[in-house]
Formats: sequence, structure tokens, C-alpha cells
Amino acid sequence: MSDLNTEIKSSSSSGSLARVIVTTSGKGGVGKTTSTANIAAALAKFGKKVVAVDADVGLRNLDVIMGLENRVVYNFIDVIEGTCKLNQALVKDKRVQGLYLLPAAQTRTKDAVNPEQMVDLCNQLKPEFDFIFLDCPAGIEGGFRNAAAGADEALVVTTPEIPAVRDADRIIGMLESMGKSPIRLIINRLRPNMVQDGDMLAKDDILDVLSIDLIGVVPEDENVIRATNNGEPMTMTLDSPAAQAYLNIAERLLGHDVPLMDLESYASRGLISKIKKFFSRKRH
Amino acid sequence: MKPDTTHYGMKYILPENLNDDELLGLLAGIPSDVYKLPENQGVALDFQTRKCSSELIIQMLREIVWEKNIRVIAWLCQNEESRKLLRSAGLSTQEPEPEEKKSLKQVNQIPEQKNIILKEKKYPGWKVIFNSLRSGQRIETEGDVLVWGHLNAGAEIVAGGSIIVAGKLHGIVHAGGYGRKDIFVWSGCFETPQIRLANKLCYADPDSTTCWSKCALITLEDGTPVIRENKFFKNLSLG
Repeated sequence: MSDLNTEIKSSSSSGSLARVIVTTSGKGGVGKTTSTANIAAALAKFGKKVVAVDADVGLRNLDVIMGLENRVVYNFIDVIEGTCKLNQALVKDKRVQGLYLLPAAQTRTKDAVNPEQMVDLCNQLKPEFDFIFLDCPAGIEGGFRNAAAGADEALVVTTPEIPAVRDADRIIGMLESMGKSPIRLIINRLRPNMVQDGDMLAKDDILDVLSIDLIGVVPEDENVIRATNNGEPMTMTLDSPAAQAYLNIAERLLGHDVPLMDLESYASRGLISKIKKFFSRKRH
Repeated sequence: MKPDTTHYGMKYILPENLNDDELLGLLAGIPSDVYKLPENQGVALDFQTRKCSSELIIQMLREIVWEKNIRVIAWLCQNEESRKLLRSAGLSTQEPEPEEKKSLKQVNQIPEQKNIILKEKKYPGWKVIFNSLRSGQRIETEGDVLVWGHLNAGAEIVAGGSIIVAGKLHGIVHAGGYGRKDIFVWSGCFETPQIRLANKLCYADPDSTTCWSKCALITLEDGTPVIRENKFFKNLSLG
């Protein structure tokens, strides 16, 4: 524990206060937690000091996706209630320098924390990190309000489905009224082939409705399931379309001008590799 | 929700998500004719929670108010600091007094004009919204509504008068919500499955509605809802 304390005591790499970003969506199952884990890992890979806070009290998942569930001892509710110190609750990822997790309590409910406590927690974390990501629960009730209260900026995740877009629209309206800025959009699980066939909302259709800045489009990718089950954010190791998309989003968060990926070529590359796999199996 | 009415002319609800330059650009882009109102009416600018700098106020006066000859009767703002700044410049930060109340005061003072003044029809005014309305947002007013943006699915407008949605109409509109029948709904792109006119509830289906995804006007004629496609805009170049 003493080693951990010393490591965390070193302040953010830039010396300035952290940017606090809430990852939210309204609808559940669109990829908030996956996006949080992957973008946080990517930013850490780029040399930033990042903490991912699981703000989904009672339904924590971020620890599993980051592969750190076995090392969770305390959670941020313990910090708020004074059961432990902040440094004791932070879990350092040993695979990437500068990546930390602040887990949620699994045995408590969302009422265990209020917005003021969340703001206090973020203020404690701010001098120590470059980026603080708050992984928000689905819905528009207390859990969302708690998570959003501590944040300055927001990443809204949606899938190219009408219910998800409508819920994202509702969330954006609420974030705007809370004064969060900038609010940027991640379109997750896009299938270029389905868009081409007119069976899926295209990027421009979604942007037309939501009218906010797009920070990235993540294609549907089976590696996401594999990485989630292995507890290893894709941006750490894997070379896959989704990993590349998340790396690009991280770069854009750093202010770099990175063009959007050509998803159609990725889709055709995927098709070619499938054909290759099929023939190689036949040969064996 | 209590109906929010303006009895003094127009209330412009200015978007909070634009920066100062974008806001000035938006207002500058609106033709001067739009700001013209009857002599006893004026415009209230509602900055919502925006923090107004002295530079923004001066630019607003120079580039918009004086340039376009707008009669601004109130500068509304929920930000206390901005309100103090506006007040220190002698600008009114109070919602204007309803025209009806003013008329009644005059009635008390000049009895011979009483009959003429009381015959004037009360006009609740237009509510102009320079944002798209998002899912879950609702506007209710006794007057007319102009949305300079989209009405997204899940958003709702109930107006005593008519409703104009310049962008895409995906949400629910109820024109003539308090019983008036001399109303209309105009949309830049009609794509809503349901529309309400006075006491009529109408359904629209993308396959059978000819005006779907087109600029459309919906009126109530002899109690029957009628939808018309705006065909004369096709050859109009706005460039």
C-alpha cells in the first residue's frame, strides 16, 4: 500500500487540473463502460495520467472490463463516507503507466451518494490527474445526475438505433441545461454494410438529429466482446477497427486533428480476412 | 405547467450553446423585417443562463439592436452577474408588463376612451425559439410558436395559436390547444406520425402521406385537417 501511496502522490503530468468528462447515453447497453475503459487506457498509453471512476453504484462493471476486479478492496463510497483514504481506493493498472480505476460499490444503491459529494470527490482527484472519466449509469435519474454533477465535459454514446438516438437527445438536453460543455458524440457499433443497405441510421442522420460535435465513430467489432471477457481494454494491445477508433477518439480529446476512419474499407478488409480464414480452414 | 405568454410582442429565447460570436451571427442573419412589430409592442431578449460580458452587450446594441432598429423592451437573464451588468447600463431586466394591464391603467385615467380600449383584442404574441427542441422538452403557450430549428422526437409544443417548425418536425405539436380553430402548422420537413389541431387528432403514415419529408402546411378547414405540400419553393434559389 505504501508504494501505491507514493505513486499516486505524484501530480498530473501537465501540472494543471484534470479535465473531468462524464460518459453517458441515457439508454443502457450502448457501450458507455467499454468506451470509458478504452479511451482511458488509450490516453494513458499517450502518457497522460487518467482515472476511470465507476459512477454506476450497485451495478459496477468497469472493474471487470478493465480486468481489475480482483484488486478492488475499497470503493469511492468508502472514500466519501471516510472509511478509507482516496489513495487506498484507487486501483493502479500495472499494464499501462498512469491508468487508475476508482471502483463503485456493488452492495449499495445510487442513493448512497449525492451530487455535492461527487463534486467533492472530483475536486480531490483533479490535482492528481490529467483526465477523470466518470462512467455514468443508464437512465436520467439520480445516478445520472450524480455522475454529471462532477463533470465539466461530456461524451454521449449512442448506437445507430432510433431508441438510443432519442435517449441520447434527451440526455444532451439535460446536459446542456446543466451547463456542461463541450458535449461530444460517440457513435458506437456502426455497421457500414447495414448503413449502405439502408437498414441502419447513417452517421449524418444521427448528427442531423442530435446537432452536437462528433468525436468518433466506432464500428461493430467482435474483438470488443473478446476484450470485454478477457478484461483487457482493446486500446492496450489489440489491433482492431474498434481499438483504432478509440485511439483516434483519445487523440481528438487531446486536441489532435485526426480524420474519421474509412469504415467501408475496414468492413471490406474484414470480409477479405473472413474469406481467407474460410479457405485456410478448408486447406487444413 | 403554467402557460408562458407574452403580451408585449415577441420573446426571443437565445440559445445557450452558442458562443458570443455565433450568437451575434445568428441574430445578424435574421432579416430586419422579422423584428418589425406594431408600435405598442417590443422584443424581450432572453439570454437564459448565459453569462453576458460587457463586450457582448455593446456588440448586441451596436450590431443588432441599433443596426436593425429593434425596439428591445427587456433584457432577461437568469445569471445574477449579467443582470447586474445590464441594470448598471440602465437596461430593463424585468419581464415587460402585459399590454392588457397597461391598457387598464389608461382606462382608469381616461374614462372616455374606455370602450375603445376594451374592444382591442388581446394578442398573446409569438414565442420564438432559436434552438432545436430535444426529446423531453416541452413548450406551452397561449400564443403562437416559431421554432428556428428541429422539433425532435419526444419533444412537444402546445400552443393556443399556430406553430411553425422551420426544421424537421418529428415531435408532437398541438396548435389551437385552447380551442382556437383559425390556426395552422407549418413545417420545413414534415415527418411526424401524429399532429393535433384544436380538438382534432390526426395520424400521418410515411407510406400514404404525400407530404412526408416535405415542406408542408397543415390547416383546419371546416373542421377537417388539410395538409398541403409547399411546391412553390422548389424552384426558388435562396443563394
